[in-house]
Amino acid sequence: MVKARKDVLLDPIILHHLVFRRVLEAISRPGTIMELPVAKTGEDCLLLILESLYDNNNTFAVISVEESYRKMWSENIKIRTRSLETSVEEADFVVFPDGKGKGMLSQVRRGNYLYPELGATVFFLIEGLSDNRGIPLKISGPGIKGESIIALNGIGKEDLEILQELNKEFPLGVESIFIDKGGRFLTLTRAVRVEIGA
Amino acid sequence: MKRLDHIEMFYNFAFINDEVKREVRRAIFKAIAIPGYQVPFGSREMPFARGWGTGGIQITLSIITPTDVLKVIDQGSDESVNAENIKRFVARVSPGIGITTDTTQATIIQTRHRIPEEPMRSDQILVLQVPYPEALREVEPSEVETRRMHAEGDYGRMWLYLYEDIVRFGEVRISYRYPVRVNEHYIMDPSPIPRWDVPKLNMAESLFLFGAGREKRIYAVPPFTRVEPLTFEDHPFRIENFNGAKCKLCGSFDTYLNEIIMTEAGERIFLCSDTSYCKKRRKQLGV
Repeated sequence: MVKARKDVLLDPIILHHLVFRRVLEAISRPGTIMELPVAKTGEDCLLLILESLYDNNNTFAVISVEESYRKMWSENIKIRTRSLETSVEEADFVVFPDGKGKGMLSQVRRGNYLYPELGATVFFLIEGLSDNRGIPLKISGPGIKGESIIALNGIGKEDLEILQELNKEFPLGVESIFIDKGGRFLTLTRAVRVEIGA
Repeated sequence: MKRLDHIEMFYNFAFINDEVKREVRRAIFKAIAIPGYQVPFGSREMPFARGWGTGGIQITLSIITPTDVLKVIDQGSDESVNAENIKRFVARVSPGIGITTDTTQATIIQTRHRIPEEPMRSDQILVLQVPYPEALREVEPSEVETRRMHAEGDYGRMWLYLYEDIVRFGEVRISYRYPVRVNEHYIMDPSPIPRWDVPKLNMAESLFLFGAGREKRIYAVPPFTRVEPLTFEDHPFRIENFNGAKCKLCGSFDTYLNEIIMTEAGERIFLCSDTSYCKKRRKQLGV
């Protein structure tokens, strides 16, 4: 084999390829912690993932405790993806920059039996992944060899229960991406069985 | 094995524009999340005729990175016109990638009608070109109806189709595109791979992505996912039996073999379908 070149200039298009490839690995192996090549913070990581996936064909919503923080995120996402802001019920992707569902998580789109892919993707910015202070989850299903234990720190147990409820009727459900402050992330798909506090 | 490292300045990296790539990526994302479900996408015109792997190539171009090493096979062969053209095209518009014929060295393998003989690893992605993504098409011509059948898990007609084959012929006649059930939910067309390759999809280490360009569908089988051929308890699924035949070149008897008629008198020989594996084996054996 001839080794591939590694000195390719990181232009935005190539960067999106590199980012999506990590997202692809993450979504095909739920619970596996991934890092992006250039993201140093959770905010960077989130925006890069959004840029690699979404554009002006998509709609989004941001849910935050503080209105000013919500607005800041909303503007950032509009600039970076050109997606259109809408209500939680209609959004293709929903961002929770505080890591808190704020009672709105249960309203995200779950798709329908004819078109389950219309289920939204939800993004949580949280404190940490797999540290000692997190809520442990036992996960199994497609993409996971046997069972795996992960821990999420910075998301409430009630929100995890809502996610469980949203995904209880496969193929309806949502995909969740949890991003920590250091720019690491993991995903949970609707097909994954989750036991909270395992 | 070679690498084309000149930079084509006339195209985006990986040819298709970013909006299209994002759409394909979103389809891939949801396809992996809902194993076996066919996600519709706006398949674009490519510099290939539809039906020559445009679905697979749109997937490959949307996921490839400059550090990838690409292998393309067509019916197991690295050297067919289709495989060579796809490989050259991707290499030309994706500066930096490596290309190979060795399965073990590839990170992305785009394939038509075969899964390589050598076991796939967790760091490899297999992109399959799919002519007919709908496994239920044999029993139902309407897309609206097959979508309803998938939604309701109404697979009775498919089972009946298989049962009738057994009653009439003592065997399910489907030799390739053998329908499978993914994650105990959707019935899926595994693309026209032979029965030999179907068990390789079950609980595999690698990710399988399926692209149907003409039919505008993307679907996937994530790693460690149950993929079971549709079968009856009293009539188990069987793979091809070559009755002890061996590859004429490498002597292999545990690989999928192509039967080739050599003379007008009907003299037949068998050759490994996976040319890369066969070549490697011959080198190892010194033949």
